[in-house]
Amino acid sequence: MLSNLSFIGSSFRSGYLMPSVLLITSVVLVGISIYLTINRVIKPTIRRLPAIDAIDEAVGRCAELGKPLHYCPGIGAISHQDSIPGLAIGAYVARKCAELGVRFIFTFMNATIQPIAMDMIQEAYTLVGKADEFRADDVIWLSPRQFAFATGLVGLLSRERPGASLLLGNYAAESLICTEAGFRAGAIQIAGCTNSYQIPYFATTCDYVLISEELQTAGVYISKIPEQVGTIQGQDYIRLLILLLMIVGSIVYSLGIKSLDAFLKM
Amino acid sequence: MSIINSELLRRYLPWGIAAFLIILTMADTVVIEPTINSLASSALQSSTVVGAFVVIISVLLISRIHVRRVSRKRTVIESSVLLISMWGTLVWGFFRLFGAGVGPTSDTTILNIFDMIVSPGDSTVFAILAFFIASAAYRAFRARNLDSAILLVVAILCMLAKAPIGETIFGLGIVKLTDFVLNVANTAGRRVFLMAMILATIALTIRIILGYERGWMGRATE
Repeated sequence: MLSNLSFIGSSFRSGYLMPSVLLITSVVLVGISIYLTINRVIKPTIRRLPAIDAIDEAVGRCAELGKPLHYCPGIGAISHQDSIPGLAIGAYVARKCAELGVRFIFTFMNATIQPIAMDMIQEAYTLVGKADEFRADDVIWLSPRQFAFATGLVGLLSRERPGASLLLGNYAAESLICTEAGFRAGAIQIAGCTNSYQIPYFATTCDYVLISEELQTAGVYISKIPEQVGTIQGQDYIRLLILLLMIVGSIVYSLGIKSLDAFLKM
Repeated sequence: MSIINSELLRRYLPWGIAAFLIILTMADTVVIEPTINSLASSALQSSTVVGAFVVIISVLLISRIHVRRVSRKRTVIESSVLLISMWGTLVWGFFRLFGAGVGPTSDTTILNIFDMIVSPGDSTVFAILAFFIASAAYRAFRARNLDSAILLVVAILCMLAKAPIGETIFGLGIVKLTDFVLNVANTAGRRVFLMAMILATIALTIRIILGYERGWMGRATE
C-alpha cells in the first residue's frame, strides 16, 4: 500500500494521504516562489487593498479631530489564524498613531493577546522615540466572555467616541454589535475577518472591509518585504493547481472515469 | 545586554519553538506514528497550561490598571466593582476548593453567579442583535444601484419564503428559488471564501515557520 511508509514504520491516517501530498506540494510551491522572488526572477505585485490604504487616512482623521483611534483584533486567541495578521496590522497602526500623537486604544477578549499586545504597542511607541507616551491603561482586556466583551466595547465606543475604529481579526456573533456601536459613535470603520458569516455585517456597517484572505495578506501588503510577497505569489500558484485539478476532475468524472476521484480520496 | 533581553531569547527561541510545534502538529494530523502522536498530544496539553499562566498574568495586569485608576480617582466606582467582583469570585473559588474540596463547577455560589448574572446578561446582549440586524438591513437594502437592487429583491424573496405567508401567496416556487439561492449560489460564494482562507492560512503558516511573520511575537514591524 502507498499509504504505508514501512521504511520509517509509519502510515498515513485514512483519507489523509492525498491532502498531505497536496499540503507538501503547496509548501514546495510557496518555497519556490520565495526563492524566485528573492533572486528577482519574478517580481510579484499585490493588488491595491483600499481598506489598508484607508488606515493612514483614518489615523490622519483622528489626529485632525483630536480623537482617539480604537483597534481590536477580535475575540480569538493568539493561536487563531486571524489574530496573527490582526496583531501585525495593529503594530503598524500603533506606530502611525505614535507618530501623529493619536491616542491608541486597544481592546481584546482573549487573555493570550495581552502580553503580546503590550509588548507590541510599547515597542511601536519606542520605535518612533515616544516611549513615554505609551499608556498601559489603553490596552484593555474587556472580558473573556463574548457578549460581555461586546457590551464593554459598545460602552467604550460610546464614551470615548473615537475618530476611527479598526476591527481586524477573528469575529463571530458580536461583530454587528461592535460595528453598529462604532457607526453610532461616528467613527470611520475598517473591519475584516475570515468568517464568511460575519463579512456581510461588516459590509453593511463599515466604510472599508477586508474580505477573507485579504486580512491575512494585509500584513504582507504593509511590509512589502520581497520574501513575504513571494508567499502570496506561491498562494496563487496553489490556486492555479487546485483550479486545474477541479477542471480536469470535472471533465474526467463526467466522462465516467472515476480513478482520479478515487486517487484524490486516498 | 542581559541574556533575557538578548535576540536569542526574544526572537530566535520563540520562532524555533513555534516552527517545531507547527511541523509536529501538522505531522500528527496526517501520520500514525506513536512518537509523533504522543509528542503532539503533550504539546497541545502544555499549550493549555501556558494559556492558564497567561490568564494569571492578564488578571494581575488588569488588577494593576484598575488599582491605579482607583488610586488616581478615575472611574472609581466601575474599577472598584470590577476588582471586588473579580477577586471576590476568585478568592471564594479558592476558599471552597481548598477548604471544602468543592470545585468551581459544582459550587452553588459560583454556579448561581453564572446562572443569575452572567448567563442572563449574555442572553440579553445576544437578543439586542435582532435590533442591530434590522438597523443594518435597513441601511443595506436600499436600491441605490443595480447591485443593491438585486440584493434587495433576493433578500425580500428569501424572507418571504422563510415566512409561512410566502408559501401561501406564491406557492412552492418561491421555496425552490430560495433553496437554490441559499444552497447553490450562496454556498458557492462561501466556498470561495473558505478556499481562499485556507490557502492564505497555508501561506501564513509558512511565513511563521520561516520567521517572516512575527506579529504573534509582538514584533511585526522590525
